[in-house]
Amino acid sequence: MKNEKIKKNFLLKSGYLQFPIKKIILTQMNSRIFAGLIIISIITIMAITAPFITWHPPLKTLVGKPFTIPNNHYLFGTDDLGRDIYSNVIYGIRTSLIVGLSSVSIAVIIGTLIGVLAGYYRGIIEDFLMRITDMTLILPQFLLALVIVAIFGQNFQNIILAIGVVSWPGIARMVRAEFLSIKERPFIEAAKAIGLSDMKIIFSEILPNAMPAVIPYIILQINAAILIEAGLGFLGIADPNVPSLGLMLNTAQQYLMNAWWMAVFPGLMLSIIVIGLNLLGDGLVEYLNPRLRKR
Amino acid sequence: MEKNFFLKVVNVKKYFPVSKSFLIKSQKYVKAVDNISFSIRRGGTLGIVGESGSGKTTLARVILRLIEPTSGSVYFDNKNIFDLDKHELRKLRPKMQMIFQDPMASLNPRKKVKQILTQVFKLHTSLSNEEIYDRVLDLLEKVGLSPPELFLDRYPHELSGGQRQRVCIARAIALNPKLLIADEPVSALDVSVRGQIINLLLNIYRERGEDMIYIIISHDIALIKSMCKDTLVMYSGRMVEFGETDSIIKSPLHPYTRMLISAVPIPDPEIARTKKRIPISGEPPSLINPPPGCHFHPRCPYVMERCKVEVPQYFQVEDRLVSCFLYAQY
Repeated sequence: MKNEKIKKNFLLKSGYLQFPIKKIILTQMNSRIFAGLIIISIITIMAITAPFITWHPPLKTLVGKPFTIPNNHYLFGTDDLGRDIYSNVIYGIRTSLIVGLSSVSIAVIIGTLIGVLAGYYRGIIEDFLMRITDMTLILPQFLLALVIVAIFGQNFQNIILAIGVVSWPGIARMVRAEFLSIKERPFIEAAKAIGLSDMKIIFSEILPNAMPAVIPYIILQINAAILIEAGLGFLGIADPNVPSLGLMLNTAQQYLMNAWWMAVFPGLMLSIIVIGLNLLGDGLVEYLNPRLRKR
Repeated sequence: MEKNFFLKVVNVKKYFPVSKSFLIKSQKYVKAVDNISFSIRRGGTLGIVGESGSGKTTLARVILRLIEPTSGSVYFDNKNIFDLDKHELRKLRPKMQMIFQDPMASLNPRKKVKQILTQVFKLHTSLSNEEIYDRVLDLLEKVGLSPPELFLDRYPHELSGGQRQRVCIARAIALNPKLLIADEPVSALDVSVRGQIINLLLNIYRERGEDMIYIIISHDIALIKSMCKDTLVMYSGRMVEFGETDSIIKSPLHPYTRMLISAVPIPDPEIARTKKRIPISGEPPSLINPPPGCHFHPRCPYVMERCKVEVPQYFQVEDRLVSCFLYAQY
């Protein structure tokens, strides 16, 4: 009897996460998604276990002689202030991923909200919101982020916020486009006919159907956010209290002739992150768009 | 709900503006539903027939207020549906349900059968999860999906066309609606499962027919004949004939209805040979620029000068309404 109860409750519980991850892994996963996933998982594991795989605190100066060539103890060498480049790179990955994920989360929240309102309610709301989106879209993302950070101050939160605030318009447009097409499908009319409220229709009927098309774009957007952060760092606009791959490249350019390792390792790591995310994002775009899929 | 409820449709119109440009508001409309009135009493069955594009589906959607009407009123449950606000309308929803044409498209592809069905109960009843579970199982059994446990965890794409339509029917009848509109319930299905679905609809009607109003939209006159007491014939957004199904089929009055009836294949070749067929000439009129006067006049064999200018009113012939000047003397 008790078992039956548990079974019933289990049966009634409804799972909403139905993005076809299982299907991708089990069946027709293409090689790009596979490669991307492997790179990203290795990098993520490195970022999470950073304290265990490094043996020098990242920002501490003079842990070794300045400009030490890579050797057994200082795997990637040391920089002009005697900081260990290896631990800075590993912690730098952490920073990159945190910036990428949190700024894109902000962008997803703003973008989805605006896209949903515009796509579902149409009319004047749509015109108004989409013109705002267009206006944000025509400003160069990088410069806008630069200006925002310059105005509000160079700290970690501001950089995340700035990148989030500049990268929502694309997401808003995509969500809106998906809503426009899904909204007209008969099952939405059926949902209206049984008396679902607008909120329920938006969040439990349309959004789960719209998200699969937007997810690859979101992954590519994480990529863009990481690059913007590195770019800002390279221009010296970064929080000096947080290890950042871009900031390391900024320092490295002054000593490029004498200490090649200061530029090579952060640059290489940045490229690997970007390549991994790009492979994953592109692979997903291809996977979810049957017309691009090779047979 | 009072005992002798009815559905009364009065002068319902639905016009779609043809093109919306930024500055100039166009004055052209597609008159998808143009001035339709009828009423059905409790226990009544109405068939709506007409060719593609004649506005049958639009009429159904307007009656349920799934799209906003241009004008008119629909009385159901002693309320004018068009006057209700969002909240009141949502409360009335379980009493009026619709079965859609394409079962695949009208089920959310990301929801399992159990989610689709439990949702209805969660929305309009305060039953506990266990009670809902039992009701869902009963419902699936009722629409012929057995064993029901097998179907709970399936997604719509894992069902066959007939099974999908059964799920749609289950969703529509879950809360015992008083008004059930079936919009071409079998046209998207294989011929082999059509019979089963029609039988299912008939069974539902037999079970609680006296307590509900049934509207079936179809272009298949045989289906209408087997299921509906009354028939409404639509042409180009207008009602051309309304009356009892039997008498309409036996002696169609409007020239369009005559053509429609004579186009129905007759299974017995002996009878078919003796019967004179009236061929339908011409094509359905453009909805944006319909012919003036009676929309049917370019195709009508009995066309008079009057038909080209004036829109015919409804003339009462015995117990029927016909919109044709041939019956003007009545």
